[in-house]
Amino acid sequence: MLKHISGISIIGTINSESSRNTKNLGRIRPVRTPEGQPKFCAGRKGLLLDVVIDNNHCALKCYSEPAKRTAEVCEYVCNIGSDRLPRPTFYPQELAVPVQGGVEWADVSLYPWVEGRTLDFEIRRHAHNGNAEMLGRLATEFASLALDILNSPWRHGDLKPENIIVGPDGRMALVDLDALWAESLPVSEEVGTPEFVHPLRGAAYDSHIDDYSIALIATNLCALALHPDLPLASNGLLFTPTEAIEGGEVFGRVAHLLASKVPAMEPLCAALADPHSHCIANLKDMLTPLCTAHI
Amino acid sequence: MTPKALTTPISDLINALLLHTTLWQQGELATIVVPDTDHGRPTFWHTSDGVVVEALCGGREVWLTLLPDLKVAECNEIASRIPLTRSLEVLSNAQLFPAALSYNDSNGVLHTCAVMVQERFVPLDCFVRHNISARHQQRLRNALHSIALNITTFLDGTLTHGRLARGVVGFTPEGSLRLADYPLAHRATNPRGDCCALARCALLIFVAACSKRAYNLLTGGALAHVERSKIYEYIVAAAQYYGADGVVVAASVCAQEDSDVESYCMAIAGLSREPFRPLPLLENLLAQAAQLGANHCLVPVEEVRRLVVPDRIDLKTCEFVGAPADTYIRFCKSGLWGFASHRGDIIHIDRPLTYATDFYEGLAVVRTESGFGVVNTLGEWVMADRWADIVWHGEENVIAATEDGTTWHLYNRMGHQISYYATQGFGTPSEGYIVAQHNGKFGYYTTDGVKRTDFIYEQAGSFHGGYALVRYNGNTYHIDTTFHRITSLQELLLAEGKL
Amino acid sequence: MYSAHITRQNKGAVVLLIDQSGSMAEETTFNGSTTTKATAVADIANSLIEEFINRSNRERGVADYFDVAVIGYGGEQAKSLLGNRFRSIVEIDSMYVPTTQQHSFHTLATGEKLDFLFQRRQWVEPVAKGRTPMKAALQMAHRLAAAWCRKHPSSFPPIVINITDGEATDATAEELLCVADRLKSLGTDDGSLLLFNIHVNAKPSQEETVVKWPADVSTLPDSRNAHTLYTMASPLPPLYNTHIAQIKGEEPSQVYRAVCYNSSCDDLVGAMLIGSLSIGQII
Repeated sequence: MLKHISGISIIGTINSESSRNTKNLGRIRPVRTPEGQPKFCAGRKGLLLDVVIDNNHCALKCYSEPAKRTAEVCEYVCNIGSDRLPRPTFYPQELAVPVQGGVEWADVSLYPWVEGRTLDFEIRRHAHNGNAEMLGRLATEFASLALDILNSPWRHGDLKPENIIVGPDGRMALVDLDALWAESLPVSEEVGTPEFVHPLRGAAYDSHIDDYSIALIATNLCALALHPDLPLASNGLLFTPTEAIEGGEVFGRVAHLLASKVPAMEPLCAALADPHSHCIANLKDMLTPLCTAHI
Repeated sequence: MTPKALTTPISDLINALLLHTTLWQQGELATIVVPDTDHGRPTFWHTSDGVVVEALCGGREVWLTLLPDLKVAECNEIASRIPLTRSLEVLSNAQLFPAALSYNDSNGVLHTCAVMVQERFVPLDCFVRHNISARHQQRLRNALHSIALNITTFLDGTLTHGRLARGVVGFTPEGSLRLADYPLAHRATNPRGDCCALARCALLIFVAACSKRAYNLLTGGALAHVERSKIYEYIVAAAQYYGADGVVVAASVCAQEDSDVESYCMAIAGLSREPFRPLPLLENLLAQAAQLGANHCLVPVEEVRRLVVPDRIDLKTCEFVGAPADTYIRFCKSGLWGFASHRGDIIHIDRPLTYATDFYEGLAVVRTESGFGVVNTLGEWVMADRWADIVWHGEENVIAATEDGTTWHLYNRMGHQISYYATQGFGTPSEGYIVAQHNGKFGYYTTDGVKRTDFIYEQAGSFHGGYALVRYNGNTYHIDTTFHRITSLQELLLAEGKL
Repeated sequence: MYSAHITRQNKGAVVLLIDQSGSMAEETTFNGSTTTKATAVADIANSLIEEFINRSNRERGVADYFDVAVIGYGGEQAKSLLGNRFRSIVEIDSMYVPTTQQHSFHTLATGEKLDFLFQRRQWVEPVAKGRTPMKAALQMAHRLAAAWCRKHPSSFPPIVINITDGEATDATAEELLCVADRLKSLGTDDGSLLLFNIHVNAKPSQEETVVKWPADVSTLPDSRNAHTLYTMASPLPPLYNTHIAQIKGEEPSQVYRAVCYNSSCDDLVGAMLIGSLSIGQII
């Protein structure tokens, strides 16, 4: 039988705040919206809830289907000890969720709370306010994050502004680690988010899976830092990968703007427009100047 | 056919088998388990060769055929036919143990008994009954296809069984043909007889898929007194009437035992392609034949046809044809009423209707000689025809009915009574309320059958726009749905902006 | 084909056609309790809308991933229950509708009692009155879907889920098939509109087979209505066939039809889950 747990069911169980609904975690208190409902975000695989457990503020990810490699990913992240990655704990079959005809026990991952807002939120906020300086800082910090990723033995696998948290001190951390790649980890079925990956990436799952996303976000941030009133699309970007490869109008403007103001960005723009491969050679060299550039 | 008597009492054989399989558990029958039924004895029956016992072998369901009177030559002949059961999937996989069972007779003399172990499958009758009860017509279709596929092995001479009959034919649960007792069929081969048997089985399966009632009549013994040729004549007549050519050919061929093998094969192939369809004419013919008994002449087919309502009617020949309601058309022909689709396909109702009203949302009030009733679009009785009067208020989803003509109740669309208190009549429901009358006074019920007021009003009207006009103690005024008096409806409507 | 992801730029669309005719007042069993078919179907429709909202929830609130239209048909006409157009999921979330809190309990085999608390919002009210104008509902769905497809040529094609318990009373089988064919001819660059027909029975008796997602019409009961609903429904694309084959334990090479016949209301929940499988395409 297809085991699918609905979002309603997950919220129903969290809403009751009953300690009997979990095997190990005890009572889970959701942080609530002004309307009194649990605060959460939805992803492809389930819901991410804002909760308090034993007076600790956490993020609880509840999976709608059995989590296939999450245990290995959690163990790897805890062992690797990177400050860019919060250390999760995986609890298989932990949460009782009502389904048709009974109850299913859903897998959950518990993450320490990462204070801050998503990069997506920050971009929109600062672009709306025309705050070029903050956008420039975001661009610099993102380049630093990207270099840390490229210098690590792991890759995120689903890099996008919604999965990057900007802390109060401006430092960025990564969340949603289900697509994490490392040599020692089993292969993931995730193929990233289409709006942030090269169209030809397909099912490729290797050390280059973050290349295109990094180039895309970096380019967008730099362009916005130079010109905050460039038009943002509904996905928080100025252009999609397809528009870059096909030479769309907005991408053209961005590339021209960057070429004139930040020549170091030219190789990145050229890489974005390359229709042949999702791998970007010398990406680290392209990003290094951005870490210190004042945009 | 009564099986020939065995030289050894059956009970001795069964006891020897049980002893061997429960106590000794060795030799060739070491893995055999003979389970008991609820009566404490195993399931077994006597055949022309010996005794057949239901058992398990290594967890698989098998038949054990105990063959106590087998001569050596016969044993060798049976053994020579065993290998083919392994290579042909249609034959039930078999194994022969010539002297597997030992027992002492009443004089204490030791005998041995051969045991043939055969893979068990679902016998034809069980297969058909299970699948027509569960309406698994696809499996019955699979069975016909399987017969059509496997009969070619008889056509080209690969296989001759020699003893094919309904009793040795069966199927896997999904409908693949299986034949039992092939090794025991050591008499002269008869491919024609084999194909005839299979064709008759196929025809029986087809009839079962179309009509459970006809199948029960054919197999239940009710027609034991009827000549087989007459039964096939009825099947041919019914099939001709419905234009089921495949069935006509099959029944005609099956009626003769000396048709050639190719004819049987073509008949089965035709049946496997013929769509299933209801056969009310055949049911009536067989039912008539069953009722008449052995001493009466059977009714000619042509006369019985008159009793069957045709599937289709030419509306141009009717005295009255109503407008479509719920896409069904009410008609009257020769004083009898009925319903048909716009193409003339009739809804079959099992009693003649002396009157009918239009369908509304799947229900219609009709009248028979017994009384009024309510039918649905499948021709099923939602309320049986025993009522003095029925009114179906489709828009408000409520039925008002009386059995004796004086006391009325309300019923829901499933025919269940929903009002507790009887009344002497109901009005036309409106906006969820219905006026009821009792002892000359009026009150209100909801259309769910709940009594909302006592019978206090001298006159009471239906609700419109949330208000109803009533007269109480000589005063006429409006009430709202809480049954409170409205002083001035005009002023109220003005205030609500409705005027 | 049928591979477009649902994004804020390429939204998805779902149309629910809900039978609100008098026959929906018949009682049925749903979630272990007795209720009318109209109430059970309304509950399920409301849950589906809530699920769409939940799945669209992001950090900044509900994001605009779906357009939803709900058409109820009963009496002489079909009417749009959320206003005479598609509503974005953001609009639906902010609509002021009756809301109730509902406790439910489940006792495990160990005797432990689990406790769940649901917020139930009611966009669709249970109604059971009048005839079954299914043709009018399909025509209204066609009007809405045609305009939507013109505005969203790159999106995953619209999904229309028709929930009914009986036959149409405003059209013959041939007329219904004609209207259904017109509806199925709509689509986007990613594929044709998918029409699901889910037939709900009050209490399927042992004689009546529940048929879900058949691959062949011969598996359906020998009923004109069953055959009509089968022929009206869309053949399903691989995205659905794989899931259905998995549920049925069959080879994934079959092409199933978007129809369920004689479903109970409990079966309806599972059917709606399959019907809204594209919800998993949200990124």
